[in-house]
Order: sequence, then C-alpha cells, then structure tokens
Amino acid sequence: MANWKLYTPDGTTELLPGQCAYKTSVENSICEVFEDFGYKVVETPVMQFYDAYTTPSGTIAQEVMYKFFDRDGRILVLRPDITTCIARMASGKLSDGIIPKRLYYSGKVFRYADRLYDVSCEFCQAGIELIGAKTDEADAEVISCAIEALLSTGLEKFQIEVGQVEFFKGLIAASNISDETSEKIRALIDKKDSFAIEQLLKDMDIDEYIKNLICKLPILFGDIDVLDSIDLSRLPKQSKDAILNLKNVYSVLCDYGLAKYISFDLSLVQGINCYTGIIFKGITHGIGYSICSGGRYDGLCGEFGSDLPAVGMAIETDRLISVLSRNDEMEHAQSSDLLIYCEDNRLKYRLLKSLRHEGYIAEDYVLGGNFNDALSYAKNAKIHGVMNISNAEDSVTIHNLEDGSVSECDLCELLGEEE
Amino acid sequence: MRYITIALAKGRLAEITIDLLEKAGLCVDEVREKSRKLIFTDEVNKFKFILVKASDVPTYVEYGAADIGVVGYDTLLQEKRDLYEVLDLGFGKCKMIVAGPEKMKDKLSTVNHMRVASKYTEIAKDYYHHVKKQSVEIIKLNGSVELAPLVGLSEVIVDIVESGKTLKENGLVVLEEICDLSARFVVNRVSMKMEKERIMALAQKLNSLL
Repeated sequence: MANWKLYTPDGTTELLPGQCAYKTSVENSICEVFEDFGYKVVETPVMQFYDAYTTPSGTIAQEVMYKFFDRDGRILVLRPDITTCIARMASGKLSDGIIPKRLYYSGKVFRYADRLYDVSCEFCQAGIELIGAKTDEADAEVISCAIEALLSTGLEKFQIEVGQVEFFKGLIAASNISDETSEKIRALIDKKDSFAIEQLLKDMDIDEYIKNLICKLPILFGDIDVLDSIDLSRLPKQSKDAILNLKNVYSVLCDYGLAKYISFDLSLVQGINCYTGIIFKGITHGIGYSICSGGRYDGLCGEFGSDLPAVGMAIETDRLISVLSRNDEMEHAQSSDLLIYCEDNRLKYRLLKSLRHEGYIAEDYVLGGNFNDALSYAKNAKIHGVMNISNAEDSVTIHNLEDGSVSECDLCELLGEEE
Repeated sequence: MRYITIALAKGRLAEITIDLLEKAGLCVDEVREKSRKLIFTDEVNKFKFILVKASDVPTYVEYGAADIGVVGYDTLLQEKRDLYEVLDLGFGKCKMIVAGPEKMKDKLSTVNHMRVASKYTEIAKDYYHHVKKQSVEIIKLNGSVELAPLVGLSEVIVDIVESGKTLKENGLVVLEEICDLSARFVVNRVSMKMEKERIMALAQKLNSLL
C-alpha cells in the first residue's frame, strides 16, 4: 500500500515561515480596513450540516462539497463558503432587531476542484456581510470597502466590474422564456457566445428591443457609457430598476472618489439563484481569475428564518497574495534580533523578558553547547546579535553579527534596574 | 503597451489562423519562419504568439498565460475551461458524432450496458448523461478509435467526422449527431476586461473577415 505520510492531500498546501508571515500581514491589513468600516469579526465552525447549503438560495453544487457523517449519520460538509453561515447567524442568534449588522470573517473554505488537476481545494477568504440594509448606499459601501481593502495590501492596478442580475432576470421574465431555455441563455451569456444566443432566440416571439438586448448582453461591458446606451423606457420594470440601482451606486462611488476603479459588465450572470441585485468581481493583471467577488443576496437570510436583505463580498486571499508576491519579492521571515547565551537560568529569563518587553525579538539558546556553538548557530540563522553572560556577573558581551563588533554592556542597565 | 498573447493550436488550425491574423493586420512573419522557437513576437502591434498542443490552448487561456486562444470547439467541450467564447471563426468545420456498425442503429436505446470508446471522454459523458440520459461505460482511447467496435472493445464510438471516409472504410456508420464543430476565438475572463479595446478591435476585425 502506498504511504502518503510525506505529502499533504491534493489541492492543499503548506505555508513556510516567510510566506506565512507575508500572508498574515496581508490578511491583517484587509481586516483592519473591515474593522475601520465598523465590521465585527466572527468565526464559524469549519464543519457544517449539509442542509445549510442546499436551500433554494444556495448555489453550491453538491459535487464540490467535501462530505462526511457525524455520529448520528447526519451529513456534514467542510464549509464551502462562509456567507451562508453568517446569514444563519444574523437570522438567528444575532436577530435582536438592531440593523444593519456588519460582520466580517477571515478563514478557509473547501471545495473539490472541478477538474482533476486543479491546484487548490482549500481557499482563504476574507469577507464582509452587511445585513439588514437594502439601499444603493449599502451596495456602494461594500464595494468601497473591497476597494479600500485591496488598496491597503499595496495592490494598485485593479478593477471592480459591476453587474446586476435583476437586469437579466427582468428581460427573461418579460419574454416568457422557459426555465430550461433561460438557463441555456444564461450559460451562453456567461461565456460571451453572442452567436449561439442569436441562433437560440432567432425564431422566438420576443419584443425586438429586448431580444436585441439579450443578444448584445455579452458585449455590454465597459465604462458608464454601457449603462447610458440602454433605453430605460423600453425595459421591463425589474430591468429598469436594476440599471437605476447601478447608476445610483456609481454616483455614490463617484462621490467617494473611487470611480476610477469601477467598470460595468451586465453579462455577469453567475450564481443567479443566490444573488438578487448588484454583483461584482475584482480583477487585476497577472492572474486570470477574479481576486474578490460579491453581491446582494436578499433571499438567503430568509432561508434561516429572518427575512433580511444583505450584501457582502469576499476577497480571495491566496489569489491576491499570488499577485502581490509576483509584483514584489516575497518577504523573508523576520530574523530574531538577539540570541542570549547564559548559564544562569534565573538571570537569563529576567534578561529575555526585559528585552522582549522592550520590543526585541530575543531567542534563548537551547541546544546546550558552549558559547561558540551558540555564535555559529546565530550566524547561520541570520540573528543580528548574540549576548554572552556566561563569565561575568554584571557585565555582558554583545556580539554584533552585522558589523562584527564586540562591545560590553552593563547587565543592570539592560535589566532596567537601579544599581 | 502590454503584449497581448495569442495561443494557437499547433497544426493546420494554426496555419489558417495565422493567415487570418495577417489579414487582420498583425505581423506574423516571425511565426511563418520555420524555427524551433515557441514564442513569436509582433513588435509593431505588441502581440505575442505561442504554439501549443490543441488541448492545452484552453488551459493557457484560462490561467491567463495567454490572453486569447484559437482552438476547435471539440477541445473546448472536452477541456471545460472557464473562458469567454467570443467568436465562431467558421473554419475547421466538422461534426461530433456517435458511430458504430449499421446493426446498432435500432439497438441504441435498448442495449443494457453500452460501451462507448472515445478520445473525447468528457463530450461522450455529457452527451449520454445530459442529452440521452443513459448510463454507459466510457472507454478512453488516444487514437484509431474506429477500431474499437471492430474488435469488440465497445459497441459505439464518439468521434469527430469530416468526410466520413475513415468510418466507411471500416464499415461504420454515423448513428447520431452530437454537435457541429469549428474553430473558436476564446478570451481569458480577466484579459477581456483589462484589454477591452485591443481584444474587441481584433475580434471585430476577424469577424468582418469571415
């Protein structure tokens, strides 16, 4: 039997000290932005009941969920997203009547890769959910928060492309198209295959302007002109409201000075079971996938008992990091400032504590060798200096390994004590 | 200006595509030179061309290693990559079909355990699962698929047919048509937005040449 003890499972990866420190720093700067916007951090279990993800508002296919059973035979999944857990939290434990609720998270989600060779099955996401507000300002807040969070990580050139699923839903509803055909059209729009849509709609009895719009949907992307090119008076109400929502959100984002990050794509029609309004994705050069995505999902909380509107977004931290670290060199793990060599344990610990309190990263030498062993370890590990307190009672030798100098220092002074 | 990279499927498809790209105003002289290079550059218009195996074209484009790809629809169906399929270029026309011995004609829906041999396992799977709604055993082959029914490896095959000559010579007939195939112009989902003007201009140019 093959033995896999040396490997991590397919689709998972380990982070080594430098990479991990870098990732944590990126996550921290994102979460700091969330905090500044008033979002409160929450945590949800990694395992969840399968049922939570199979409501009519769910969009996650059962094939992509990692499933297993609890002791009572109930089906569990490794959470394939965190939004669903937060919708439940807001609808249940947090439903105290005070709205809106602003919640954020940073954690892992798990999905089987669609294909055999896909790289990741374990993704890091940091996201926010703004629950209880159904206004253009709420939509704009979530998008602005995404932009500020991306900027805080040092990412400069990126775009948030914004769409509105109700626009498509409205066109379909006004055309009496069957569910099956509308799903076909949706999939074709998602692939920007205008030709096939034309073929499909050719013989259907649909209002000419609307038919034309559906065929043109794949190319309805770009700046605000895309929205202005649409004749609102000829749209069904649902689609018209969708365009007005986009225009209003855009005008709010203009007021915030963030217009330059925004573009539009009315052919964003993924996850339309869950999304009920604005929908957006963040993209940048250097990676073929979106680095953040979000939208309005007014139906999801209702599945868990409270009919609350909600809008949210998640940043794909791993993907973002892969772009950032390609842009600038991945930082190495920070080396320690000092290594302490001292045979008197009581003295050593007092010294370590005092140095650490001062803000130094101070390591103890724990290999039991002599001072020269400690010195050579420090050189290899790129520690900046070594303190030797082995042979003097109140004097310390400091070996500065960066410039090679050796100096003496008073122990009491180091410990911050009066003599 | 950033280079836009176009992935071409090695072989006849690439040759036709190169002619078309030249008509669209790109400089393809470097690609035409018979060399062992894998990357060719059009310094004037800032385009790069890479020649890769057909089945790898969708992969390069999905990951964004290439912004644009030109590849047969059969490869797209088989590889199932997440891309924009912007244009049907119309050349390289053929059909994806189910073929087998003449006598299978009446038995297609009654065979209890049908074995289907194909290079295009994903296409065969999609066809039987979603269109025919039938459970079948799919056998992956890498070439000379016509052989499978002749030696009893499978009842039918799913394959591409252009003229039907190979089928005929081996005593096989087309039993069902799955779909029409032709070359497609595909674009990475992010590149489409980040380089909208140049990519759409090229697509429109090509469209007007068809």
